[in-house]
Amino acid sequence: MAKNLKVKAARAALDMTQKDLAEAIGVSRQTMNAIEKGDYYPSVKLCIDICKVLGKTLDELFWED
Amino acid sequence: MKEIKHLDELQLLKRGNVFKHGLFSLVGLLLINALLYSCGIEWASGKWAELTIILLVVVLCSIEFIYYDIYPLTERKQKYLIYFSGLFGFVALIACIYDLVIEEVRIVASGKITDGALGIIYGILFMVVFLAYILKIKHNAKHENEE
Repeated sequence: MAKNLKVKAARAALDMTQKDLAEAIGVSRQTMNAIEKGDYYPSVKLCIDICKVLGKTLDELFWED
Repeated sequence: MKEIKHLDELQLLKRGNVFKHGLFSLVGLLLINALLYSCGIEWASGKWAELTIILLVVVLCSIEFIYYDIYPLTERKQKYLIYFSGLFGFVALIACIYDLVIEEVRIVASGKITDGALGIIYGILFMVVFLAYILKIKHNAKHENEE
């Protein structure tokens, strides 16, 4: 699976660690790591939660180029 | 910030896989044991064979849970449970080794593993869970800031 670099970039832009983002969303750091590495495709609900925290839209973070 | 009080979706998925592995392992090992029994091979007396298989599968599932950082209880309670398991395993191991060495209890008798030897196996299994947890804690601490 392809890495999700958009989530990583958006997180870095807000100066957040994976742990910070994971805690903000309510998931474990390992799950957030798996999402960014492309090892796991999150549910729509989790995608929305990530977008809300990072201030981005679903298309900006999860749509394929 | 949300406080994590429950398993997230990926952890739930992995927990399901762990239970699946445990179920198939348990069924498979019990069937093998039944096959051996039907061929007249009894490797442990009474119900100890089945109990040993159940404990082995529980330990394997526990190690898999630790590997995936899935803790059904709160992490603090899980930590106390695992520490208690380690202590229990250590005490059981020492007691059974004492029986084997001082009381001269045999490891195998009449083609079956004795209760004393099984106690050593049980002690080792409990301690393996404890060691797996310690290794995982150290691994997580070492790689915490890697992204």
